[in-house]
Amino acid sequence: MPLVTKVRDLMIPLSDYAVVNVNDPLKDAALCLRRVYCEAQTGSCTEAGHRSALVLDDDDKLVGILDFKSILSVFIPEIAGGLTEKLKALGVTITFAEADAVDLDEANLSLRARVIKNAEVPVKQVMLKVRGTIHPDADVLQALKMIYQNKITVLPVVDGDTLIGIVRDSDLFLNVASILAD
Amino acid sequence: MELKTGNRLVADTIVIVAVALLSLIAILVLADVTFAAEPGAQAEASTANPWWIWPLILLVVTFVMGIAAVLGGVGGGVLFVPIISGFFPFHLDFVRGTGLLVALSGALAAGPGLLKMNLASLRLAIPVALIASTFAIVGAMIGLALPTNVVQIALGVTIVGICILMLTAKKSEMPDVPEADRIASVLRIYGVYQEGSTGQVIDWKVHRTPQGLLLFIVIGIMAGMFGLGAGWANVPVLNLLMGAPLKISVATSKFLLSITDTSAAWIYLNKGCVIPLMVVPSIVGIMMGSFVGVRLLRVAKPGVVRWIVIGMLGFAGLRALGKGLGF
Repeated sequence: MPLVTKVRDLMIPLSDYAVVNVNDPLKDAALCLRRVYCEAQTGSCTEAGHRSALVLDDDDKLVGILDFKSILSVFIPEIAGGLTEKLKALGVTITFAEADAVDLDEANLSLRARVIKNAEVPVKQVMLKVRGTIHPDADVLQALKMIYQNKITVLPVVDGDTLIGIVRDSDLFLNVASILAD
Repeated sequence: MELKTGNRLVADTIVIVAVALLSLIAILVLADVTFAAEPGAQAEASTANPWWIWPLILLVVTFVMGIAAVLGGVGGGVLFVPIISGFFPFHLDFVRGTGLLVALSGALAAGPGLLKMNLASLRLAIPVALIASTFAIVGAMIGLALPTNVVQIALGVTIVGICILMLTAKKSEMPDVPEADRIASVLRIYGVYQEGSTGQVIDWKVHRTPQGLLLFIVIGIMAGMFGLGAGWANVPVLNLLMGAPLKISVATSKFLLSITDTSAAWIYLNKGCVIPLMVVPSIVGIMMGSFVGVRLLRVAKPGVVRWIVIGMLGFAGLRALGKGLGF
């Protein structure tokens, strides 16, 4: 019975997931995610790779989550900026254009150089808040409710004070979809 | 192939911009409307035009001006005062007040981004801003105290001077500063920034600080007196005289405007020389124009626009001179 499956049976153990320290630069997080994603695709896991990394502090306590979007929005800020960010970027561009120094336009600088520069930003400045955790003995329905209510895609699994793994929306979906296959 | 199409697009735009601006000016000159000719004479304003006609014309003209400024590599504020005072029937005091706010809006929009990118240097800006903004207040007071025709003559001379400066001034990407002078060392005016395109970390320092600070007295007075913004003067002084790298000079200059122009704008606000009906369409027009200008600039950079803009600025300067002299 898929819906009474425990989170424990579906979760990905912490050892298999991308984990970064809160003081690491984003570069480390991005490389870790890249490695883990590819391993998941070519290794034992046949489903999609992990799309987020867990951020732990020095005592290995969970303090945040990083996903692709949050990392990319720092690497290439103009893709995500709100109106204020866009106005700022426009103001900078106009400044250089008005000084007849158009080659100084930050927007024309190479993507590579900018990504390398921005990747030095520490993880703690970028990470997303942890919105809810779940016990390994909770069932799939509880996990799905939390994911929907909190509008998240991954749910850390915590036993007491110890983080032991993570359950993803994709795992939950596949579990529910297996009803149709049975 | 794509580049050719892009160039053609820009060439077309240049023609449209030039024609639009020139025809508007021609219409205004020919129409010879007398509206708000003196601050006290508004009661006698022409009743032939509905009230919204001037804000609308301002919006259109400043929109074109915003495009031309960005394409021509000139500050929007520096174009605004000579052109609007030369070809529009507004009193010079109102035009200068609006001009300051136009320059200020651009500076305030850019300031946070420039500081965040570590291009605008606070250490360089603060001592300079202290002097320039003090004298911008003095300049604004002088400007409002002097008879209008005297200010107009001075404006004309300044504008023609700016044209000459634009035509002759060179830029130095990385000026050679053998040694920082004493004032610069005491004030710790130096810095480091990373060149975005190469990733190279650049250490910079400045020299000839006393001469630079003295020149900022003059720049401050002129910025306050004419409401021009002062990027045209800030950048050469910071870059060529004091030896700050071009990028730092450009960014610090813009950031500097947000301080000096605020001080001067306060005087104009207090005297009632800032009319929302003029300021709002002008700022909206310039900002929208600049936005379009930046888009066009990404396609190609037409050198000819700069000549057109400098030519028009020179013409407006001569006209200010003529107006002041009573021709």
